[in-house]
Amino acid sequence: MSYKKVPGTFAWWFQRISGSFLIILIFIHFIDVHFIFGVENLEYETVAEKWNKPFWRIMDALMLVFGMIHGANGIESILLDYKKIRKYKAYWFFFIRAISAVTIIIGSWIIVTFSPEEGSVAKYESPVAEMRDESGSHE
Amino acid sequence: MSILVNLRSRQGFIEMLRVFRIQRFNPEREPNQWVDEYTLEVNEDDKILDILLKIRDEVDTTLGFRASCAHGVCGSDGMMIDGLNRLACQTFVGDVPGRKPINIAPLKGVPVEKDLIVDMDPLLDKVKSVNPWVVAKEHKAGERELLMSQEDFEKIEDMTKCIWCSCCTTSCPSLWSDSDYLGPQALVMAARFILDTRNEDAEKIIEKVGGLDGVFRCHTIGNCTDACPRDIDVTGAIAAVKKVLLQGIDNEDKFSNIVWEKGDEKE
Repeated sequence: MSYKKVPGTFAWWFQRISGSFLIILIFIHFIDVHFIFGVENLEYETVAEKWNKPFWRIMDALMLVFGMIHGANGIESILLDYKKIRKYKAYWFFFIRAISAVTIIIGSWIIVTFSPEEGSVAKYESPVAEMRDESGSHE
Repeated sequence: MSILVNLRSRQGFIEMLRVFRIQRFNPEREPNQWVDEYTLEVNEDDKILDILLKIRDEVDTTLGFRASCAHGVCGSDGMMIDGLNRLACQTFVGDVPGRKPINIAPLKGVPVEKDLIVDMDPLLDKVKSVNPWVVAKEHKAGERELLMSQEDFEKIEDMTKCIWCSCCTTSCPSLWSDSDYLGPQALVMAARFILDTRNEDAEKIIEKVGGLDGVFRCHTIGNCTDACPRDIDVTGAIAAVKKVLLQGIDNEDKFSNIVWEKGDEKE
């Protein structure tokens, strides 16, 4: 038995659960990008190659969903602390939830539909890479 | 106003001059609060309450403050001393280190009535609103009194020490932003009577601590635990309430079956 129906209980519980998930996800992401992958290799081709593995797609999708909902939930909880804002709670919540929903939909749409084979990996020239080539040539 | 008073001198104690900056308020005289400075010759082991009494008796008879037992039991002389909510009768001059002025102000977040006296009614109404009492279970035949096991009592022992001084509630930033927030004091009482195994009406309390002004406005800031003059783990008690809301009451077999049956129907 629990009293999750008492207002606020579920939001509070979800904040803890998503927070613990995010710590793990962001830690893996950080280790991967900064130490294994390397920030200097962070270009379109390499990310596209990384996304060939479904594991990283799931990782990024989870990070997106948990991050957005955790953030929106946190902002809602902060807004509820203020009595004056609480009067317009419905509008604020609609605004926050709409933004996070749109972000999640766009983000997961890209994660699901992205396919480097059909895309323009070969044609695409990274401006970062160009800049580095130029600076390299000057040296 | 600055007055120098010679209080007393005792052998063997360090005497020093300390400045007391007391926040004053008298709506009949001035609409805003102001600060009066009193310079007194004091010892390190003088209680703040003794100094306030000295000031009132010998320097400025208009100073208003509440005090009753002067031994940290009645909880009527809670005030903000050097930025922390504490009881004047338990705080010594030496607790404010150095030679800096000692600031004394009324409790924050509640209307001030005069000088260091605040209106405690809204705070006590909040405590009353969570039903802080035991509704006894039906007696079994031959049973003369309601008993609870030592283990169960140890869970709530910390919370039973509360003296209702409101030092915790008035130190809570959540209360400053939302004056309707139940506050740590009411939530400690709620935890104490939810976890009390003799209480039949725990579920009524649980319903009252939820909601917009309820337990989830607590963001574990921890000011209340620092403020508590009885060293109650206030934030821990609020966490216990949250745990009950999330998981139900964990001592299922020991706890009143009536409460559990009601809960199951609800789900």
